[in-house]
This record gives sequence, structure tokens and C-alpha cells, in this order.
Amino acid sequence: MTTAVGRTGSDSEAFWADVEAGGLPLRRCRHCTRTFVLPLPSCPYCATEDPEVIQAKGTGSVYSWVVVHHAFDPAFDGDVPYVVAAVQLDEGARVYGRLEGIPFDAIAPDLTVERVAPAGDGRPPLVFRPLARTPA
Amino acid sequence: MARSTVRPAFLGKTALVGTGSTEFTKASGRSVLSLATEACRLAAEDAGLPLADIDGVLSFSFNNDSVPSQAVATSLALPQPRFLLDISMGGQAPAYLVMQAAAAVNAGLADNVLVFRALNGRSGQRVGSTRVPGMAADFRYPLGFTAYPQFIAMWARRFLVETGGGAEDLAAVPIAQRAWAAMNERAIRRTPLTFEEYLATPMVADPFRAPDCTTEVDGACAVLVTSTERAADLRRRPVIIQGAAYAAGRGSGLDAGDALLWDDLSRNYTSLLANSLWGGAGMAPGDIDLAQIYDCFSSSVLFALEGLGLVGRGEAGSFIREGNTLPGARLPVNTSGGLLNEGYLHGMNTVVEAVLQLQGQAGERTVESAETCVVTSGALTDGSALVLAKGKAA
Ligand SMILES: [Zn+2]
Repeated sequence: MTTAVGRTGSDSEAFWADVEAGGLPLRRCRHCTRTFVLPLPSCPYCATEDPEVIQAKGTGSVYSWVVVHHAFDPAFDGDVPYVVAAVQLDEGARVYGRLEGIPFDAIAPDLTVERVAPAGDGRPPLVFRPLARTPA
Repeated sequence: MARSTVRPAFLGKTALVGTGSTEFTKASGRSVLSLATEACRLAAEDAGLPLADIDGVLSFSFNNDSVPSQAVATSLALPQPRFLLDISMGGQAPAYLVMQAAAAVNAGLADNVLVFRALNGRSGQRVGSTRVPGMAADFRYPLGFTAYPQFIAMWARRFLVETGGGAEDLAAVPIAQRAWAAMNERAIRRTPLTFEEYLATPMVADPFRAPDCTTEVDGACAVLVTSTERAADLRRRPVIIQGAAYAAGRGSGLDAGDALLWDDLSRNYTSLLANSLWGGAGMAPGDIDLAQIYDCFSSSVLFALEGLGLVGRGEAGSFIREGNTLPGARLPVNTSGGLLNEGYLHGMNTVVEAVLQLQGQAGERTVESAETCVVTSGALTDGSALVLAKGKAA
């Protein structure tokens, strides 16, 4: 069995399988209620064991971002230039995702974004776009 | 719970007494063991210490890109090593390993300890395109977030956001350091750089352009650590270890590129270790004459100048642009040209340059008046630093 690009098929497999199915799983501490993405056995803020798994809404804001012009892994040569953003989800956890649907020079800190439904077929598994505004 | 303020016992009692470096090349055509052996042999010769007196060897590697200390002890024919240690670490390691060597010497575990880094970093396994081992990597790679220039660009962007900085702040670092590199025959990049030329270079991982990124090389560097007592009998002026600290913040990550749990990407480990570094050294940032800052990327110089308190928040870029770090100025920074220009020996060459400066062995770039130098190792959630002071001439 081969794994998708960049995945080793270990601890992250459940996360990406859920993401490819349209979910966005987070861990939430049963004590301090903070959330995080990494599949740790305990809370990285208070060490309480056995965090629960919840689903994020998929909305948040851009904390930082990089415009990749040179792919160091040839698997991504065809994608450049592309944006990887650190997105602060509304639940509190930070997650990395691609950011699309906005000119590079229009990206700004705190830009509100929403998750795009996964398209499969070799597209990046987790993509955000600027949050669609509701007409006034 | 109060943090420990205990001062490391080896401070003021241990010294760096020799350095050794191979050529830095794009293709050494040699084994890593051959490179390591040469650098270690040269460090002992530089100190004037017989190889048979060396009883400790320490080194670090990344993804098994080096050779074990035991192999180097074997090729140097060390008669009875008492302290061999290999750690798996990146650029956080050089100052950290000098601390371990000094602690071992002071504790009586060994008398004379070599610390080396050796790799065919260009012709062999290249760190820029090697996957970082560790479970958090799986949360970056499927997105095409795969390499250090990208990881650290994420920090640099947030830093520029928080400090109101721009391309001119990043560019200031390679531009200033080229002025030093021009005096360093070993440097890979030696031609002067203007801001206009900088803006014409290719983007790698915006906000980083090519001159913001170090260059991988093949080579090796080593330093020799001993007690100040024994140092007094050796060939070179000893460089006293006056301050030393390592820090890893809460949530420092699951692998050497992980920052998913790091709340503030505009501050790195230098902000965490500054107090214990200066407190242990009995010095303040204003007492420092030279700084050798780990600069795998330009932004890490800005982070460290601020984090160590050498400049105020948001002032690092303008401080460099105003010429304060250039030859002849008040705080020379990265006098070899830095990793950006000399090449990426993972920061072991940064320590070597600090020692050469305080020994008065840095050729025409030697800052004769300098009595003290701060050295950092690392750029992200953990790292180490030393405060070094010129000892009495041999
Ligand atoms: Zn908790």
C-alpha cells in the first residue's frame, strides 16, 4: 500500500482520512478545554490525559502565511506558487492549510477564512479561502 | 514555582582553546569521517595539545548525516576516551554541546574535550530537501509545507506583521554580512549586495529571497574545551566560557520543524534564555562587543538581537541598516559573513568564528578591541547561547 504524498501512514493517518472525508478533527482537553491538532496522549497546556476528539467548524483567521515559490520536494513542483497559512481556528487550535482564492498581496493578518470542501484527485487535502461575506 | 536561578558551575572555569576547520566545498569527495578527523586534529594542533591528551569527543547530527564520536576517537587514535556523546539535534546544538563539554570538564568526567560537526551537507544528504523525522511533520508535508526555508518564513512573516517591518529589514541582514564576508576567504558568497540587487533575486519562500537563506556545504568544524587552569599552558589565548544557557519553551514541538503549539511566532528561544544567559555571565547586553548569531535565515538575526536585548522590540532592522553591525561599528555581528555567506556548517562555524575573533586569529576581520562575544545556536522553539570573554594571552 502506498500513502499519499508527504504522509508516513503513522499517527496522522486518522487525521488526514477524516480531513479527506470533509472533517477537521481537533483534540480538546477534558480539563482546561483548550484545543490542538497534534494527536498527543495528553493536553500540552495542562497535561490532563486522554483529550476528546471534536470536529472544528472550519472557520478561523490567518495568523501567518508563506508564499512558496520553490518546492523543495518535487512532488509539489506543479503547485508553485502556492500559499501555506497558519490558521487560528475559531475553536482555538492552530492548523496549517493551503490558502486559495485571494491574490498574494491581498493576504493580511487576521483575514477571516473558511475551509473549502475537499476536492480529492491530488488536490491539497486542507484548503482555506477568504470567508464569503453575507450580503447586507 | 520559581525558576531555578542557579548559575552553571563551569562558568569562568572552562575555556575554548583551539579551533579546526576543513575547507567548505560543494563536493568534498571525501568521507564524513575524514572531514571530522581533519577538523578535530586541527583543533588539537591549534591548541598545542597532543591528541593523546584528548579524552572526550562530542558531536551532533541530523537524520544520521554524520559519524559517531567513537569513530572519530578511533581515527584519532585516542588512547582512552572517558566521555563520548552523540546527540540528534539541528542548529540548536553547537553552543549546547560546548556547554556539555564544559560541564563534563568541570565535573571531572574528562579533561580535554573536542566538539565537532561534520557532514557532506551539499553533495550528500541536504537538509533543505530532507524530511524532518517526527510525528508533527505529517501535519505539514501533505500541504507542500516541507522545508526549513518555508517553516522559518512562517515565523519571519509574523515577526514582520508584529513589528511593522518589511523587506528592507530582512535584506539588511545579508547586505551587512556581505561586508564581512568580503574579508573571509572561506565564504561562499563574497560579493557586495545592494538593496536593489536584493530585490532582483528570486523569491524562495516569501518573505525570503535567495540571499535570506544559507547555502549548504560539505565540511567540518571542531573546537576544543578544557579547564582555564590547563588552558594557561596552551598555545592560544584562551576564550573563557563566561555565560551559557539553553532553553526550550512550553510546546516546543514534536520534531525539529514543529511550531504548531508555539503561540507567538514573532519570538524565539532567545527571548527565553536571555535572563539566565546574562545573569550567569554577570553581564548586561550593553557589555557585549561582538555577536555571532545563528543565521540559517536572515530573520533569525533580527529575532536574536531583540530576544537577547541587544536592541529593543522592532529595532533590529533599522539598527543593522544604520550600520551598527558593520566592520568598525559598535556591535559587529556575524563577522565571518555568517551562515548566510560562509555556508551552513549548522552553526558550528558560528562558534568557531567567535573563538577566532577573541583569540585574535580572524585575519583582517579581527576586531582587536573586542573583549566579549555572544554566540547563539538555533532559530526556533529551542536553542542555546554562550557568552565568551577574552582570557589572558598565552
Ligand atoms: Zn488541558
